[in-house]
Amino acid sequence: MSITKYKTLKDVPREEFLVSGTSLCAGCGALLVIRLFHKALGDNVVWVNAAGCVTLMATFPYTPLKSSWFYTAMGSAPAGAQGIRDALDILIKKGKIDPTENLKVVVVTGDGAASDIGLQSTSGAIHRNLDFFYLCVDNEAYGNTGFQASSSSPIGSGTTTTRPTHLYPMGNFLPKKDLFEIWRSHRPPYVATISPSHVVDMFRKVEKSLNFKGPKLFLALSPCPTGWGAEVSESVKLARLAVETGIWPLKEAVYGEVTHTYIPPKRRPVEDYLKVQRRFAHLFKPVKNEGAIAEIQKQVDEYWSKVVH
Amino acid sequence: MERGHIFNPNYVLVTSPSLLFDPTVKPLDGMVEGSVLFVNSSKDVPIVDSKKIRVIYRDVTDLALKHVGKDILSATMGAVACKLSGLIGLQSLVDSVSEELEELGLEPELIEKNIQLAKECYSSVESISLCGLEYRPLHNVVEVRYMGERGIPDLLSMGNTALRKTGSWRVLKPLIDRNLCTACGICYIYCPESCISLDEQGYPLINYDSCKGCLVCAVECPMKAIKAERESVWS
Repeated sequence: MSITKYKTLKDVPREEFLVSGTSLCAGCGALLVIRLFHKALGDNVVWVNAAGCVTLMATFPYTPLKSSWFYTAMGSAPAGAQGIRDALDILIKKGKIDPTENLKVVVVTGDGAASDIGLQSTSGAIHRNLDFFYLCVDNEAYGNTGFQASSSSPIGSGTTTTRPTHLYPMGNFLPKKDLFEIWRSHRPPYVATISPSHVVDMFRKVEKSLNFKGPKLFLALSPCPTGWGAEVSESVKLARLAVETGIWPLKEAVYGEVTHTYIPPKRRPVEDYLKVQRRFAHLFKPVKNEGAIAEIQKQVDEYWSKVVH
Repeated sequence: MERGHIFNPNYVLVTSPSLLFDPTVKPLDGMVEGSVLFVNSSKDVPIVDSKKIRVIYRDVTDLALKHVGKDILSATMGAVACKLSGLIGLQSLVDSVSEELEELGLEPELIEKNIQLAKECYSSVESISLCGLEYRPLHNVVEVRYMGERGIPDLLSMGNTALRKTGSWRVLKPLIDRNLCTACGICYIYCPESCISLDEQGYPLINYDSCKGCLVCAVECPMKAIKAERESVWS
């Protein structure tokens, strides 16, 4: 990557834009992503949120943010962002606010709003080349309502709507929707995947995206101890495992051109990631479902065989 | 059976004494004379409310740690509620613990541990009858008290969740061993709650008012310099 001010974790700015005391679960991966992402963005931010866990972060009359917050309906966060962007542009043009008071408009939603309910308004906003950021905190299900499957839930995962049964021993048998590719197909200036475990990578990506005008889209893996059935203390460890097993590739696409920013030198078996989460427990007990695990491994291997020649 | 908001509870079970005085929780609100309060605590906590409520203290977190090894309290509080009310027998309790946990996909051994836990909690308290308790209509007007500067929400206040002391969530408390700490700052980076700050020399400081005790810091610390200790004092 080109010149960056982020070389090590020591370069992460000390200033906090998100204070403590939210009602999000202990060990919430999404909260960590938002905290770090905000540090990378800096100040002068307005967040536009669609219904999801993150909505509980700023429940009236409390907010953990030192920046502004705008809450919209589940399908319309990018439309809300369009309104705020237009208003800011007009106010600046008319000289009613100083250009130094300009704000970065950042949509933050979960995977349900991003992949299912809000996909069309996102597609519209990217198509119109709206100058905004989109941060999707992907916990791979509808966490806020009790962890029902979304189109972002991975194959083989148990959710409250995809319990493993004798008919469907794998639990969720549908593949995870590839939101990175859906976004990329619009050829926006910048799309990236990020992980809370790989902080320098995240900061460099946000830093790079700041150079572009237009849609800048981020897909963040957000471990969910409550829904995934994992130790609250191991959220970051799980995110790291997802990267090291190759399940969560770290990559970016500039005007559609894909670059992998981190290639695991020796990918760990997917089993290491699956076996520590209750949502995959049925793949291991009472009888180990070798076929299902091999299928998940095969999909990961096939993905990387196209990346690493 | 009344569901949803219960305005005048006959039995109130509080999972942590820290919640008793939390102005956003107010668990004692609407308790009438003769009603029963159960507090998960090893020692007595002075109840400011002067109403003649009957208070029982038991440290069920301790029992959960003993049986399950984790501070998961659903089975404990369910068991205590069944016994206190005197309405639900032991077998019904065991059946529902088993059924609910099976539905969550828990392993049989873990379910068995929870059943043992529920049984011990069930036997640790006595049933308390509520005869003579006065009847109150269910549909009350919700009383909203003026609470000083918190009475009026301020849309423009930034970062005011810090007023909510989420430290009361904590069961295990992270403690940093200064002799092992190398001031690498990794715990500060990975704290999801913005609860760790760094001093001038780069050593971490934990804000215990807000730390929820997730212990991500302890897992991520490369020097294993952060230890977890059972939270003891709550005032």
